[in-house]
Amino acid sequence: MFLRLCSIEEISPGEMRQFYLQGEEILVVNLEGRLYCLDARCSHAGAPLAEGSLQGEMLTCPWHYSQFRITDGSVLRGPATNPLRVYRTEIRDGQLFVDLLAPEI
Amino acid sequence: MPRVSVISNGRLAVAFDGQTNVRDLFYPRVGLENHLSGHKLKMGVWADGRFSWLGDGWQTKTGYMPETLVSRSIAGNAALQIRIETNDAVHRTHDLFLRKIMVSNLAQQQRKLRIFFAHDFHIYGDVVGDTVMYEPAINAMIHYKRQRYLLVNGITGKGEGISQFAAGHKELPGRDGTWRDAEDGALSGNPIAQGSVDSVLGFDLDLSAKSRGTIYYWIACGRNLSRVLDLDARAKSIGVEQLLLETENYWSAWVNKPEVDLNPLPREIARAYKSSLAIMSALEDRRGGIIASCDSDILQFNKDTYSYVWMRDGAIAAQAFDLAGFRESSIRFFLFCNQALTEEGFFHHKYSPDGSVGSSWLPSPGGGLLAIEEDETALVLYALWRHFERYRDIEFIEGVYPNLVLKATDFLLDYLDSDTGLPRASFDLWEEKLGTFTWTAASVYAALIAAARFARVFYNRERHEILVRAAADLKAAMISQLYDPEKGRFLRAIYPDGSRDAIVDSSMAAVFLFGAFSARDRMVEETMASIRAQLWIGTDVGGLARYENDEYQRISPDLPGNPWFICTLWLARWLIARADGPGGLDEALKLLEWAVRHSQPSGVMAEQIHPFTGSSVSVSPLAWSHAEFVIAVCEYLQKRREMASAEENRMAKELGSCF
Repeated sequence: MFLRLCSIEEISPGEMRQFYLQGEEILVVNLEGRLYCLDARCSHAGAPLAEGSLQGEMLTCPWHYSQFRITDGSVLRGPATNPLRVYRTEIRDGQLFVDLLAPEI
Repeated sequence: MPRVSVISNGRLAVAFDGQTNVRDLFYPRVGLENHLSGHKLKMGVWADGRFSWLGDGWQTKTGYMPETLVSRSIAGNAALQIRIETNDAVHRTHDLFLRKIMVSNLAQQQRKLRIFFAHDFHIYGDVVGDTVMYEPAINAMIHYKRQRYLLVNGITGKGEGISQFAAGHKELPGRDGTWRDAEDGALSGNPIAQGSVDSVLGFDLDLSAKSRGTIYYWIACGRNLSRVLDLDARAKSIGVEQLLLETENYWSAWVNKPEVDLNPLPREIARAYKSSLAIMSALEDRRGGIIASCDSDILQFNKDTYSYVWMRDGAIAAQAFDLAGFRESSIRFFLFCNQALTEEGFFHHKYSPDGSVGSSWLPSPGGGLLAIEEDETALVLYALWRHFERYRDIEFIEGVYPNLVLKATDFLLDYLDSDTGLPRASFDLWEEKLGTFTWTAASVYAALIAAARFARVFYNRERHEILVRAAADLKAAMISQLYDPEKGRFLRAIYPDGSRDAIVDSSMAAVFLFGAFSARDRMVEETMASIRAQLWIGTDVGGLARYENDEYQRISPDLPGNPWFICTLWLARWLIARADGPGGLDEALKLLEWAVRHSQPSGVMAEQIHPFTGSSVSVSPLAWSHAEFVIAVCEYLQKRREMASAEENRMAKELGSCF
């Protein structure tokens, strides 16, 4: 089931932001105009990934510097070993909807 | 040098300056017994025959790992081709100060580095009768005096312990300190010293070109030798890496309470909101006292510190904790207050974190007046009601009601002047003058209303009526005597000789802050307009001064004073309270952004800032600054919710009328 998360205008290209939705923490990343929704917490030690840094498709964790690929959540560098969940999204009427129950990956 | 970060577990608190030095180490209470008192625990590097202490000549940056009370310092030295990243934490359950030090060799060749740690402890705050000794059985250095033991130890990432050590003397003629011994890259190995002592430890790192090595370092704090030996064994068996992860995760879970929806906030404000709560927590002793600040640099000026519990600051911090969903912290504070209240029902000027009466500069006025700041008693009652209003925890209130509520209320009633209807003179919130201040009168009004509501909860109708009447009389007296119709605003104070103080003072905002008057009341509007016009700092930095011609730490005689975080945030709170549309909130949001912008990069808010450079002035961090920020953010979010709800109702009505 898709739930409304935010307006697509809230996150500019190259930016990311954390949202709270039904008890879940969701990270929204705008990669060159395309929005991705992922787990907002690092799979290694639970750091808030929105406070990390973004270089192209690569997200670096702010605590221990694990690196993930935004497009599929895969680990590019440890200490994390597990990928991030990436959620299915839809855009309707300028609003971003996310399906929390069915991760895309 | 202001403190840029502080870490704590409610018993052990450690504060850092901007050059990565540890400058304050409190144990066993936050704010009481500073075993450094501004002296340093510092780190040095010996490389290629050269030595350097981290500080001058190093590029340093200190902050927190996001959402935690784990600090992160990065120090680089281009000449030495060394970069050091340090993660520092105090473990939540074990009284261990933990450090993970990652040393990067930036050179193109392999190098043998020596990393030194110097410990200039002043146990119990002085240098008389200390001992420092090397203990070969555990390869550690132990500083002790009476019931305070500080055991220092460490291990490299390759499992190697301390490679060198020296114990020695300091602050004696011809003896700068044992730290001098490190500057040739080799320590004497002297195993023990007594009196005015210090120590240095060294670790060896053999790093290949462009590689990194790690040192795990800890200080175990306890009341006796067996306790610190036990903690040392735990640090070794569990490992600093694991202990740091536990601490990081604790804080991240702690700051992310679900009670407050932060989605509407700009990212930097949400970040500052969380770090403010964590920093306030770092200033909170496990037994309930919330100290104003841990920064001992103010010692340089008057040989006393801000490491005391002011009930005013504590009550405002408790209100912030409650609004943000941290009721355990506010309950601990109210229990502390319940213990500290005098038999007569008032609070003294300030308290030590152990509940004893703190030092004071308030002279006894005589004539039946007390050397107190009456608003401190009043604001605790006000904050207690706000707490109950939110949590409805009658079981807790029942426990403190007979003493904290009834006794304090009776005192406030007794301390009203039967002739004027206003509170009798006491010292002002700025702790400078004796008089009846608008701030104090507004706080007493709020306390009487709070007490009346408690009386209703406990079904004491007679008491309820007495208190409601007293509050109404006080409000009427504020209008007739503290409001000046000619000036069109409230006065600052009336003094015991009957003279009136018309200086514009930001604390006059109390008339709406504590609910005596609506933010949109004409008298409030005019008062706030005067405050804004007279006290806004007309430099690029901006912000609001305390009052006209404020001399405390004054930077420029051409300005009314220095900008203060709390005063600027009162203006934000007024804009929020009076907003009836998004436009009003936008202006308040700009002031919240101002507060974030003028925090230190670590997120720490000082008491004041420099009106030209924006740098921190006076103590840092100040719990009250962070508390006002948290309150303002919570009020901003609440107002947005109210506006959204009103809009939904309006639309529903419109839709209804269509059918």
